[in-house]
Amino acid sequence: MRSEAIDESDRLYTEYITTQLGQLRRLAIVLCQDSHRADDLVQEAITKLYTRWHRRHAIDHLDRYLRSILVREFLDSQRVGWMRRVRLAAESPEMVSPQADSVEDRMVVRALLGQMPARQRAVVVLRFMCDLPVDEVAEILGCSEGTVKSQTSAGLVTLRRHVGGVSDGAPSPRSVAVRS
Amino acid sequence: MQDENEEYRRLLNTVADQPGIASTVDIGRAIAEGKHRQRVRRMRVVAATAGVSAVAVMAIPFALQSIDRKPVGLASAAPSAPASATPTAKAGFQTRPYDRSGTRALPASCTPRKLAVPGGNGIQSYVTNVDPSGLYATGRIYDDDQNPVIWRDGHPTQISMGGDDDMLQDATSKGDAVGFSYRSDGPQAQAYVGGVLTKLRGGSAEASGINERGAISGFLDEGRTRTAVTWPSAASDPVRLAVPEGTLRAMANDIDEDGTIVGNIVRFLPNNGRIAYVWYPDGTAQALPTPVWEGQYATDFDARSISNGWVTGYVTLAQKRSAGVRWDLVTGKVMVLDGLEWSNDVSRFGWIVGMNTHQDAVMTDGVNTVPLTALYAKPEYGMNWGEAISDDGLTIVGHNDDKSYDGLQRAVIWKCK
Repeated sequence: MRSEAIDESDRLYTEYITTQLGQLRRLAIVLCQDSHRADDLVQEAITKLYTRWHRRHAIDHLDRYLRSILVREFLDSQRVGWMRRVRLAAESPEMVSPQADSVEDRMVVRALLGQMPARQRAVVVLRFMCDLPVDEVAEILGCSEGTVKSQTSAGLVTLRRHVGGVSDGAPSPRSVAVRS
Repeated sequence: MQDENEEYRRLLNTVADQPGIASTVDIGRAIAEGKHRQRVRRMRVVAATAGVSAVAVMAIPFALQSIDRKPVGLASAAPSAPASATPTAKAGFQTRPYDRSGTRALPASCTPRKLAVPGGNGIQSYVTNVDPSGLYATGRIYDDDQNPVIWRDGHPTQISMGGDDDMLQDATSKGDAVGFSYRSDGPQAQAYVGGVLTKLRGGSAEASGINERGAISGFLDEGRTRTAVTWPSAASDPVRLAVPEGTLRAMANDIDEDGTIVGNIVRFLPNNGRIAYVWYPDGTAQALPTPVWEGQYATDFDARSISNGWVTGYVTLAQKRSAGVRWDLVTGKVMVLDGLEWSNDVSRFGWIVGMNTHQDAVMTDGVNTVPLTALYAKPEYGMNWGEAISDDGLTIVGHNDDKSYDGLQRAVIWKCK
């Protein structure tokens, strides 16, 4: 009986993770800038979720919880130098100078993200890839809502300066939308 | 504008697309590894339980009363207190006396001016706090190096902290300040005292507040765990603040002039919401009364700032709407300020600065509200807010988004009368 219950729990876990893997991997790739490291990050995040799977009913927002595990894992990996160690073995992502006018937007965005401090990159990704509101990002990163707003604005300014022909520092009628 | 944000979402998702590269993620491997970790954890628990000693009991002598969405009771006390001193559950919030004499009427108006920014008019600036006298403000500018800044009477001095994501968080009336510097091995809590920058003890950490005596609040960043601490001085070892058994992480967000600290704790159950918490100088601590908003007891609420026993913070409902909150440690009363989305700081008179539901900067005493006049035209989706307030409530710092500069965020100081 107990064995059947465990099997059912694993089945539910597998079903849930299967629905989440695509979005998780995309999130991890943007954070890590490298698909190999992204896969390691996702593997660790879903493993950690498994160890807490029996308590899932106590978690208000499981998707949010899983994403926060992944982002915290990313920030931790930055701290202990894991990224640098893995980079020696993994294929390095192709990076380009953000000043190059002729490169495709995709490459410029990738380069710009890679040059952002880890927490600012996490803010931009959580806000614009995961569509998380400001307060949720603040809770995940352990900072204030004002800091999230500020980091988001700075990240968007950086992207705008180099993508789509927006000139550096020039006033324009467009505004920065960062509302939750 | 929304179309433009959609464009950036598309760009970010384009970066994420790496066709032709097969994923190595393996759900079966996650299950197998997860089971292994659970077995190891159970073995450790068994081993630890077999060796339970009086020392372990002394280390965590208190259990928080059940946090069951009812108004709060007393929670914790000094680690050195005997177990018999543990308050009973549901004992009610323990109030404290503060000197509330000299309260003034709310100012009638506040006049803004820009906080000067090195590097020109196209540089984003972010102000995090103002000292009790209103002379110094802390923050940073988003130039190439994202440099921390101390403003004195509106004039900036850049402080190089050595990391790639650095911030000053609070200042004293002498111009000393605290903050953090993110480096490759994690955040460093740093203090800027007498013009000299020093790393605070305790490993990876962030400093959040400093009072006029030089006592500092903050937290140790220990991987996925955050531990609320205080440094009695910039030269001291960190002192861990007592938390109830079962606490996953705790943050100390601000420190009052008497050494009282406010912040939050997070426990796994009943969910992952924050619980606003107060730690007193005598070593006792308790959860702040649970706000009730729209008929619901909050499950996620946080204390951000304290002054003379007034505490302000946020409450967030499950629908992710947020409102301001003010607690009074003298009476134990909690007030939800649903006209505010953000309530960031409080003066010694209980005046709160933040952002209203129209995303405009305001100050309120809980009854009346004073607009913090915008210095720049606000873009359609811009946000203006008050970030911090001086002790006397007459100096406020905050932010305006500047429509004429693509919505650039600018740090602003208001003088009120």
